Parts: sequence; structure tokens; C-alpha cells
Amino acid sequence: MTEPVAPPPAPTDSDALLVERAAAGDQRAYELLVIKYQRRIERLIGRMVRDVDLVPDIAQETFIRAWRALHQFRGDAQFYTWLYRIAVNTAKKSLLELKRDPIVTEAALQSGDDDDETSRRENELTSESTPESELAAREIAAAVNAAMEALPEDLRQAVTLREIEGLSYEEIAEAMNCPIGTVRSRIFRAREAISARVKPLLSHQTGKRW
Amino acid sequence: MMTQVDKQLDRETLSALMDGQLRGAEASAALRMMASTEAGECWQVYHLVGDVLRSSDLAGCGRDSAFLARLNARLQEEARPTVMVPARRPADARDVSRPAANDGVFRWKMVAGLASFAAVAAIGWSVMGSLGPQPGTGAQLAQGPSAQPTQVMSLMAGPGQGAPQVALAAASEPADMGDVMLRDPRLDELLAAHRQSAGVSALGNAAGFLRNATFEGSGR
Repeated sequence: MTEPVAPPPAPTDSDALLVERAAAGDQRAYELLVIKYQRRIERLIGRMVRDVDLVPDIAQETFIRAWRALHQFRGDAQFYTWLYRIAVNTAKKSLLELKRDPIVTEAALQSGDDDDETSRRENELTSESTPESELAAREIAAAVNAAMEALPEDLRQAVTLREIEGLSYEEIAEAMNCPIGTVRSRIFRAREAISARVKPLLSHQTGKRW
Repeated sequence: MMTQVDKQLDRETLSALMDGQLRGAEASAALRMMASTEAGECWQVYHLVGDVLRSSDLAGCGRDSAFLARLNARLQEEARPTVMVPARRPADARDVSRPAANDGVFRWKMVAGLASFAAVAAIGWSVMGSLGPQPGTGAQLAQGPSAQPTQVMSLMAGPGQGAPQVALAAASEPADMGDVMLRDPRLDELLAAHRQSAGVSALGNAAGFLRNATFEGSGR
């Protein structure tokens, strides 16, 4: 049985701000965008190539191509939508060079705007992952869920409305009947509490990954 | 020196930056703050938490710690100005006056010149051969009976006669006509005028090199 999935947060101005700076040559701003979207891009590529060893290289190529073409991004669409198309094309080109066929069809990847959250689990990269990475991923997910369960109700509700439902601060303030400043504080405290549970797992996982 | 409260405030600002809640000077200040390693790590963990909350399978993605380092190295390579004309090395400068590698092995220039001359001569020979009929040369398409070459006689129509002229081919009635072929001179003119087109339609390009017919008198 598949778990319920959520749409990503609504497009925010932080992307536009970072893209604008990156297009002006600010490499650090682009790095922040890479950190933000690396996981989604790698999952997308993993669904196409089904070879865990190819995924980082294709993701690298994707971000390099996006960096080169950043001046062409006009902001008509979300940055991730634009990046998504680059990733798909890069993966296809890589598979063509390797004389392999993509595992999933273009039709199966049409949900790029909503981050592919509705894709079936059998297409997921985890089927090709190593047992160690599978275990590490499960530990992180369990820590996040446990931290969420342990949060006070107001913090849990605020971070849920933001991260899972994708509401803006104004919408959350209206839903929770509190000032925007309070929403901002609650979301921050929830993130801090969850991060405190996750960080030890990240520091303990040494070697190639993390 | 930054106090614990200041750090917390910075993280809250970072959290708000993630959600696109900062504008103008506040956003610029937050981005300057992001230059620090600690802010970068915080940014990474916050986004990881958000991704995992939305989809737990994302916890297994993007865990290569060297990914960013490799990417940054490549981005720095990309950022370097492109040199359109590479600087010539001293060794390359010396190589300019050096003869081609195959000069000592094969006199390719002379052979190439001779081959070009031969090609031009062959083409010229072919063109000259195709211009105008050359008696005695070329293949013979039609031939009369081997023992009795056909003789052509034109029946001259008188001015007042207007009667139809008769062209008889010896090949059609060899027994009756013997060596004599009777043909209307206007037919000769017509054939002469349409020789090229008739040859092309029947034989294609090769017709230009061939004679359509040969008629010889019995005495030759």
C-alpha cells in the first residue's frame, strides 16, 4: 500500500531571488538551489535510468547544463519545472550514449510540475539502492516522523500546513488564527526540533554517501 | 561575537528565506548570511526535513557528500574565461616550418597533380568524342544484311505532284528491293533535325556516342 503523498510547497520568491543572483554569477546562490533540488532531481533521474551509479553523474551534468543556460530562464515557469526538463533531456542523452533505453516513458514523467509524487513505488530508485543506503534512508524517515509526532500541536500544524500542504505564511496565519510572525516562529521551531533528531544520523553515516 | 540568541535569529531568518518570506534588504542580508558553512548545513537539513515530510523516499536521495564539491569544481571551471585562441607553445612554433609527415615517404604532391591532369584529359576526351558525328567511329546500331548493304534512294517528288513519298526499308523487303532503299528526302531532314532527341529517348545518355544507322552503297 502506498503512503499518501503531498504536493511540494507553492512556488516562492526564494527561488526567483536565488536564480536572479545565480544568473548574475553568484555561485553560492546557485549552490543553494542545487541543495534544494538535488534530491528531487536524483530521484527523477533514478526513475529513468534505474542505475544508482549513473544517477550522480547525470545529476551533475543536469546542474551544469542548467548553470550554463541560466541566463535563458525567463521565470515564466517555476525554476524546478525548467530544471526538470533539463534533467529529463540529460538523462535521455546519457542513456542514448550508453545505448540504453529509459525505463519509464515520457508519459510516466508528465507530472513534472507536481514533482512526480504520484508515481508508483515500483519505479523508485530505492529498488536499485544498496542495503546500507536503504537502511540509512529508513532511519532518516523514521527520525523525521518521530520528531513530528513529538512536536507540540501548534508547531506540528504549522509545519504541516507549510511543508506538506504548501500554504503561504498568510494562509497559515488565517487557518491558525494567529499573526504571521507567530507562524514564522512556529515553523522555524518545528524545523529546529526535527533537524535536531536528523543531524546525528547524518553525521554518523560516513563513507561515500553523507 | 555572535550570541546564542543571535544564532537563533539567524536560523529563523534562514527558515523564512526558505519559504520566500523575505524581501529587499532583509533578503539580501539573509543571502549574505548564507555564505557561512553553518548556514549552508542548516539550509541542507531544513530542505531534507521538508522533502522527507512530503515523501519519505527522498530520504534516500542526494546523500553523496562529495556531490557539491565536485559540482563546485566544475562550476569554477565553467566560470573561467574562455580563451578563443590558445596560446602557441614554443614547440608548436617550431613545428610550423616542419614539412608534412608524409613528405619523405611518398611524393604525394606530384601524384596528385598527375592524377588531376589524367582526370581532366579523360573528361576532355569523352566530351570531344561526343561532339558531332565522326564517320567511321562508334558502334553500329543497325546493320543491313551482311552480304547486301542497303542503298538509299530518295524519291524526289515533283512540284506539282504532291503525291505521298514512299520510304522503303530494305530490311523489311529484302527480296524485292535488293540493295536499294527508297526514302523521302524530307524524312532525312526530319531525322537529321531530331537525331539527338530521338537518340536520347531511346538510348539515354549513351546515344550521343553512337551512330543511329549506317547505310552503305552496294559498291562500297
